[in-house]
Amino acid sequence: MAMIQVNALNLAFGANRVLHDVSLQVQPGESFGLVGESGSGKTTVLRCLAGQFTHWTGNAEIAGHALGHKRDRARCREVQMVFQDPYGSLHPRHTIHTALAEPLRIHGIGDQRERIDGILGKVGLNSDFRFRYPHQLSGGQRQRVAIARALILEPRVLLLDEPTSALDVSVQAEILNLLVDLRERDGLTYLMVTHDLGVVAHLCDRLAVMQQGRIVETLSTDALCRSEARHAYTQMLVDATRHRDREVGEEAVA
Amino acid sequence: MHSPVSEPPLRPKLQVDDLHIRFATPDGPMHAVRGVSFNLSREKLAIVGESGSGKSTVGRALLKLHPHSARVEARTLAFDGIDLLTASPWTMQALRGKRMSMIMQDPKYSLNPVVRVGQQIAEAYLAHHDVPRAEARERALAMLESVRIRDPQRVFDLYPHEVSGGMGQRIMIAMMLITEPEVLIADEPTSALDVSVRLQVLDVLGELVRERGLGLIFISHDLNLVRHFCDRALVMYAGRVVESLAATDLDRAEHPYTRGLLGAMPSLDHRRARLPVLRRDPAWLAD
Amino acid sequence: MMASTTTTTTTTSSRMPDSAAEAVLLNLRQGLRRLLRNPMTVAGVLVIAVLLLVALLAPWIAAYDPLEQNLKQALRAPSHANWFGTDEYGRDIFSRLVHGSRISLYIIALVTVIVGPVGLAVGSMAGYFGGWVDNLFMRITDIFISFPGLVLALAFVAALGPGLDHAVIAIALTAWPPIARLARAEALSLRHADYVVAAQLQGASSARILVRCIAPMLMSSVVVRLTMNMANVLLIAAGLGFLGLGAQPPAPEWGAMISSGRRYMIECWWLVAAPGMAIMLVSLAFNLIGDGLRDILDPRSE
Repeated sequence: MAMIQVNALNLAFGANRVLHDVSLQVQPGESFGLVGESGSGKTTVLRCLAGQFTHWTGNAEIAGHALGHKRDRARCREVQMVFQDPYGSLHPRHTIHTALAEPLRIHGIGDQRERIDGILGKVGLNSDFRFRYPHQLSGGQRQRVAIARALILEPRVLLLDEPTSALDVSVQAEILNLLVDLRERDGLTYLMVTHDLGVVAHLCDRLAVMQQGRIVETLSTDALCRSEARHAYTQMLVDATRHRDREVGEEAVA
Repeated sequence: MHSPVSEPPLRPKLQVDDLHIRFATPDGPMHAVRGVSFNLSREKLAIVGESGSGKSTVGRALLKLHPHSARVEARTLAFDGIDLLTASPWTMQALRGKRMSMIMQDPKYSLNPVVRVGQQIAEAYLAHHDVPRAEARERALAMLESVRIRDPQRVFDLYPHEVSGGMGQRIMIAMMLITEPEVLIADEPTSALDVSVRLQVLDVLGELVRERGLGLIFISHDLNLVRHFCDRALVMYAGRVVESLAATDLDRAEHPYTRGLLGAMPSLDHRRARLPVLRRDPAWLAD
Repeated sequence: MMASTTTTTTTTSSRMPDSAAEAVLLNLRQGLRRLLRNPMTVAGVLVIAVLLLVALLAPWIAAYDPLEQNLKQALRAPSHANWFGTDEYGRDIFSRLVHGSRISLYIIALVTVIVGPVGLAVGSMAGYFGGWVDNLFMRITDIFISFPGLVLALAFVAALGPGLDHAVIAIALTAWPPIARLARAEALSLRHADYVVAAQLQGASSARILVRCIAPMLMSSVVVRLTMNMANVLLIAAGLGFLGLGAQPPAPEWGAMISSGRRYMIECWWLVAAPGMAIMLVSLAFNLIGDGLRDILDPRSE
């Protein structure tokens, strides 16, 4: 049984059709990448699954539960999200402790102190950080807190929206390693949106390539790295990442 | 109009020797750039580093874009023999945009949103040349063509929000090159663009730089990009230049920071189970 | 420049807070330090501090009973015995001024305490929920805002009858709409913030998000606006008092003092000058504090 199942997802904002019949499947414990350029709709898919957009049509299931159009509290224990901008995803006036205690309080979970210390250790921060404010942390540290916040409710699925694109290369490496470790340790399922094929190569097992609201190809990362992509757009992205073919850029823009 | 340069290289266009920049902050002076030195002739020089390394600070200092509270000191800071440290505001005004130009990261923020793009390009020309408006318009259209915009007449009348990122950046390039500067500083010009568009913009930039014999300073955090596009690279860390080498030699870099950065990048071709994490050695901070 | 566990550029103290209380205190101390860096703000704070002290210690500071009439001493110029002279009933103006500060503070405090929460609640709900809630609240706000403040206050007092408490209600009714508008404008942009989406994903109810996420971010602008409003409140109260619709005689309300002093203004300037100066100084002080607060609370400077 698939952990994430999306069938014929369609979404329009007014007259503007943003998603066209998007379908994908993610197995439990798998790490699935959603790749595309800006305007491809990849982040929109993620936000539909997170419940931020509710006027989509089609059907979606996470961990066997059908996704409704209303916010569902039980879903919180199944699915959580890590956002792109480490500077905007933490509330500027909440200490780290508050940010991590909130979800526990909402769901009436006790042992707050132990759980918070535990999750901070898991993401590589020591408990000295508990009473700091986000502006006192570096980008990498904030992203670790964001990951801790996502994991404190022990979800099985993690939606990741370009989690490292706003970070420096060296910090990105640390966060990617952390994500790999967490997935192995807790058997999490990842659905990650990114525009960086290098990150996909490192973190994902399979990926889907999106262009203008449609999925043009779904393939395994191994196939991608061996240049075995079948769709021209996918291959163009691979070549562009490798900086091999300059003229490739012109064709794509047409 | 421009023929490739064939005269023997004289003194370098830009000479920077032991540049130090200090900012006044409420918590005391911050030493943002420490002893940076380089020369720029007709070549593509990259200044690479992570955030906080001081690379953008160096770029802006060349055009004296820092507030008065910033202290810029150097043994030499000269453009074509003109001492930039002691240059008056009038001298700088004559230099900026006319002989030394700058392209910034995001055309959304660097283009005036209420003026049509063609008009902005024409005005860039009119700021330094006293010609009739019609001639400025013709030159602007010619520039739009030279940055490979297919329909210059139509694009001339568009507003910045009506153009895509890649086109906006090419418009920026047109605007900054219309006055035929000798040195161009590009501060992360492709970081906000999609990967396919990025190559196209770089192509345009590379071609223009080659044709007009410009010196280009390319500030970026992307080592891979720089490796393919530039001639030389300066790697900056914590305000210092830790390594200076030819771009093609980047994979044979010697300084542990550069090696660490190169190793930490996830790559399609070089997949590893764990990405090596850069260990920052305090010894790199020694002056 | 950045080691793996230490902080980035701007923290001044190397001390790491050990508890929630300590974190808040450190924040407050930093804020206070920045506030007091501006000399104009310090001036404002001093004036208000003096006002508060004077109001608190009024019975001891005032040399005379503010209500005691002594017709033989009527209309005396400022002298050693009467620092600001006496009014037409022989009452010491200085004492009346000092006791009047209590009335002024009462009005300002009460209005602020009503207007702040109401405006914040209405505005944040309108901005966060949007849709019909936004429409409803904003149309109500529009109705109130379309009347000039003083005129509306007059109308209410006329309907309710003169008196200090009625004046407070009247002023509060006209002072809340701008706060609501301000709160709504900010809530509109905040509701799309990633941390709000994260809270929604965690299953937080709308009430919780409004109180815990949105309201704290609105506090800066609302507090600044309220502080600057205080000056306005004081002026409207003085205006109402001037028209005889606020505190009733013989209460030493500053506006009423100006009103009754009008008749003798030409020869006895101190009757009008003293309360006038007081009103001016206090209004100015509130404005200066508001400016200073805005400079330090501006989220862009964080």
